[in-house]
Amino acid sequence: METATGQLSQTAVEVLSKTNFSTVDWVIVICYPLISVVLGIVASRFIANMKDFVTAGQSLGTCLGIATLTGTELGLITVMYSAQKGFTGGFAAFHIALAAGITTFVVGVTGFLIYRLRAMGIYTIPEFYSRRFGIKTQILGGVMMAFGGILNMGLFLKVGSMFLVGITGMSDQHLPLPAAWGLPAIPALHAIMAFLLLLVLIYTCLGGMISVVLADYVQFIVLSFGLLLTTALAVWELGWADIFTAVQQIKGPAGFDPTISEGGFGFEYIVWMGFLGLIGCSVWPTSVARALAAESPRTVKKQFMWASVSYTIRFLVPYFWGICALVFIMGHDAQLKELFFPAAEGAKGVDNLYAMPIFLGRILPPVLIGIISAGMVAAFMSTHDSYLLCWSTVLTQDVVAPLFGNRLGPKTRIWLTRFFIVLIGAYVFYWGLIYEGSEDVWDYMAVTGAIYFTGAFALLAGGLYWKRASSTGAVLALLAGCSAVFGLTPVQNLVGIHAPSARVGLFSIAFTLLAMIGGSLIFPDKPKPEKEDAATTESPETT
Amino acid sequence: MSLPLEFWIVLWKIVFVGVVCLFGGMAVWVTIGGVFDIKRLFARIAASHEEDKNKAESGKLNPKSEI
Repeated sequence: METATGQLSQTAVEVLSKTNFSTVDWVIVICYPLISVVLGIVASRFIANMKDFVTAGQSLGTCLGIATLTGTELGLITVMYSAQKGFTGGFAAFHIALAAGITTFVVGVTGFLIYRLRAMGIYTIPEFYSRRFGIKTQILGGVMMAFGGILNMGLFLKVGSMFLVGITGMSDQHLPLPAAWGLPAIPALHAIMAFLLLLVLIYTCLGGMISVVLADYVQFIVLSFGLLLTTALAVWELGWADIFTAVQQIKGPAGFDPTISEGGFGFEYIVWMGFLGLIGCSVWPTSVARALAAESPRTVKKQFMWASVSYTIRFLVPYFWGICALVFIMGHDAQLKELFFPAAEGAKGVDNLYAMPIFLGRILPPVLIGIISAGMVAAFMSTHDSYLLCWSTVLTQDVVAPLFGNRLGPKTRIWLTRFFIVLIGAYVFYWGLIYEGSEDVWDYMAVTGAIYFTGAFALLAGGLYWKRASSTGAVLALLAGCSAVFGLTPVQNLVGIHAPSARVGLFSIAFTLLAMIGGSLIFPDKPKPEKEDAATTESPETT
Repeated sequence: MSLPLEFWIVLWKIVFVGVVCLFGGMAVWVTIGGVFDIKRLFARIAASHEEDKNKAESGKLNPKSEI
């Protein structure tokens, strides 16, 4: 428990330091990411142009597509915020996983958005904006996407590093710097953040999408089997039936029934999660990037149908780990219970993000804990590389290049993309150091992501399926997407409103769709010459 | 009007076990199939580079203008 000065007591530090993590596990964790660096160096030999760098030559088969989709979306940040949701929401949180899986499967079956996008042969979503609505919409769309996306990934580095310090028992330790530097010891969390960021930047800059795909494949193998094994061990440790009984005792019906609003969810939240599931697979740029890198539109549909299993499991298993951590803390370790839920009135408990890694640190045996941690670090890296590549590509291709009248050569574009990768990396490190939000990470991410995706959804759906969608409607919809920022607690405090983030998100969707429809009807585009019109609204079936 | 607690407990048990088993099977398939996809990926990229090179040599495409 924290003292008045904000420091943890000696007993608390000792409790948090208990772990099965050994020296061998450290060796595994440090050596494993180097595989990705080597892959980046090898892959860099195959980069000849922007198409190779951004979409791996648009040559991904079904299995590799599923592996890379899973590798990207099953990141350590997902595992951490999902475990937190399972910890706070119990089994009721499973509805989010179910919504994600069902919507992804439906998108796979119908090809909603992704099929037509891939059939157009574009590289990025703003490129679609350009072809459908004009260059101004492309630039504005690129800026909005990068703004929302970079803000969204602001906590990735910190939360990912929290897993590593939590599982290794270093959550409150400091590392000494060389005496010659004359600087005080730095928190282990910050040192881990710097180390991981450096590795990610090196191989993302070197290899682009090809190295990302290869790293994702290796990560898929390690993490898939690691997830299954860890889940089996958690059940073995706590007992299958006992887990359900314990949740019932701790949380009551709200721990299972998501329609009960007292549990933190309710019908409004379920609808919001349904929409997020749809967005997560069909509009979120890192997912769409995989669709655009597929070898054909048919492959995209197949890839998404199968990936629906991954989209479910990426939430389901971490929720379960969070639930197990709750059961373990509440029923198996009185010291941990006191740390996370202090009995003293007004006392602040330990950040619940640490619950799952501490739980795993206690139940997993040496070597296995190293492999699981290495898999998690790989997951962390594969998410970072994809996001860094995605946002930097958007800034290069859809903001800077159009501003220069598309006169930039391929080599300049690749170097510019690498420059943005490093710049975003520096921001993520800085944001991780200064941000001290109190909301669940998942809700923070949903809101920041909504700044981009609410507008993007209106533009994609309108642009692909509604002939009368106009460029003015598109610009208005993109700007209307900014309304999602009112879902953030600091912004709500600033303007003096208090509404659940789910309600603000749903309002924002309605607002952007209204802006798109109203703007298009009131300010329609001038009719294009027939030839040009055919090129921009090409039917996928004819491609 | 909410459903009985037993319904939710059974539902989440079925969903969890079902999805984990499905994922286990898919993990094996993707691991094996991925090796073949990687081979194909490099073959296609190499062929694409070769094609671009031939086009550039025959004057059909200026590689510097390609994005």
